Amino acid sequence: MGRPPISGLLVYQSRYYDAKRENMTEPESLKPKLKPNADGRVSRDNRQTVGDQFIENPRMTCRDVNVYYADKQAINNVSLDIGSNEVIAMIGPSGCGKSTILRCLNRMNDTIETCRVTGEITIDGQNIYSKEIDVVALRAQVGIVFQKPNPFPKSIYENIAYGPRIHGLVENKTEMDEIVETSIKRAGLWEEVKDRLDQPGTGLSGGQQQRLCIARTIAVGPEVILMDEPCSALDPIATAIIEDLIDELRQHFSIAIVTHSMAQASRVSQRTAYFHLGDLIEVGPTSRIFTSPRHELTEDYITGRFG
Amino acid sequence: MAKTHIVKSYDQDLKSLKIKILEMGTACGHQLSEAVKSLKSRDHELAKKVIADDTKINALQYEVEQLTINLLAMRQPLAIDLRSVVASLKMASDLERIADYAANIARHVTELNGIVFDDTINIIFDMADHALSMLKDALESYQELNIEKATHLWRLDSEIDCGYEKLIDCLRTMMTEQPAKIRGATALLFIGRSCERIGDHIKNLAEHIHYIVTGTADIRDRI
Repeated sequence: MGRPPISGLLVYQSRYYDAKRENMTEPESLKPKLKPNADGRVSRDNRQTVGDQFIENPRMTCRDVNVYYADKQAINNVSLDIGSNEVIAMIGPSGCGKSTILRCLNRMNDTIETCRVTGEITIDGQNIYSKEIDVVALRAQVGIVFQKPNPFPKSIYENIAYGPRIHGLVENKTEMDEIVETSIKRAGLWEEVKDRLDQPGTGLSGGQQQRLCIARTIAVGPEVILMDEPCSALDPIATAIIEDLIDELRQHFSIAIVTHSMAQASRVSQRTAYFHLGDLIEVGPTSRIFTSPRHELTEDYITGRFG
Repeated sequence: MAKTHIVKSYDQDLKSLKIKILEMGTACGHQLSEAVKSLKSRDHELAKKVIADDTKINALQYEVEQLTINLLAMRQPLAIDLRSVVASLKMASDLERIADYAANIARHVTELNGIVFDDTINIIFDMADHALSMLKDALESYQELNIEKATHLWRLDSEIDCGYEKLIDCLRTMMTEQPAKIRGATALLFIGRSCERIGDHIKNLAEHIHYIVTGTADIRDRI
């Protein structure tokens, strides 16, 4: 099954929704404080989250989230806030669940038949797994950008115009032209494509395609942008341009980014969350995570030690 | 940290840096003990050797700087590795200052001539012995990353400070009562001052070790 071109534009049935609600667990009360070692760090045996997983005025919240793929549990009781106008980086070794939790944030996991989510995820206070939620609208509100740039096989203009059109965001050609221009400008691509909007989006370079995908996400007016390793297929220059763009976009959106590059996490994010085998191990200000993490597992991972 | 890096050559780089710091620390301890020896025996030749050998310490500091800059550029260390590398750079700078003060002690030995100082000079010997034993402890606690030991020696510096105050009192009295000894007493004052400063730099070493292990250099937190 190929990845859908853009989450907000596809309709998925939330067939597993009822099952999810039934399995919802009681929110955990205040967790006992973890006793640190003599050097002030929490030992590897401990799997409770340390650090600042909760913040004031969160844009999105996850509470006691568990995710299962059939019988296998991929996420264990994760509680985490996503702040407004901040970039949160999710890091961890392969299979740690960072992409899984990211995809829960706009219900991309609904597309996986065996996937089951329990717990509560809210945006602006509203549970995104509740029955009243329109998944299509949710995915416009919480957009996603994937690892590999995936523009539609259409013109640059149409790549951007498609979303606003099906969401009924525009009334006429002038408004559409404006939304296309604004979105491409915000994605920092305007100067490079303004004279060839009718050319196919697939004809752009990889970095340009990725910015086109970001523009396409922006066009439907999201609040949150999820990024799943958005630079892993790009060269260092294109990566730097995207990272600079992420920094600009932070003024207007909340951004959650999954990355395998710790250097990238440290460059673009203000908060970092470290996942390990489905557990959220540590959350904190990025500068602290990379200079003085509190959990030994975090330290092992970011320093490149056997885990 | 018992765990090793997945990239083994990275461990080797960090180990080389640590060995270089220990080598430099040992050389500084040697310079200090030779300087004190030259003071005890009024051995001008030995004092000159201490002064000349200071360049060896400077060369070691340069080597540490090269190792740390290479590590930062090539490995982009993070967390405890970053703290170790940055602290090593600062420790090298403290050690270099310690060796400078040892050379300063040796410089003043030639000014003492045949003056007899009775018990006053013993205060300096005590301060110097104390500093030497603290330096040894600092290097041990660095090798073992033992913050208990580091915290202990951090507190010991106050004894050197006390010795220094006592020394100043004694020298004041001496200069008032025996003006003929003023030149020698001034030299002793500088020597005492050097020991006192050495103690401060060893205290810094303890803070750097504390920083490597805990992420904060503020030892007072632990009291």
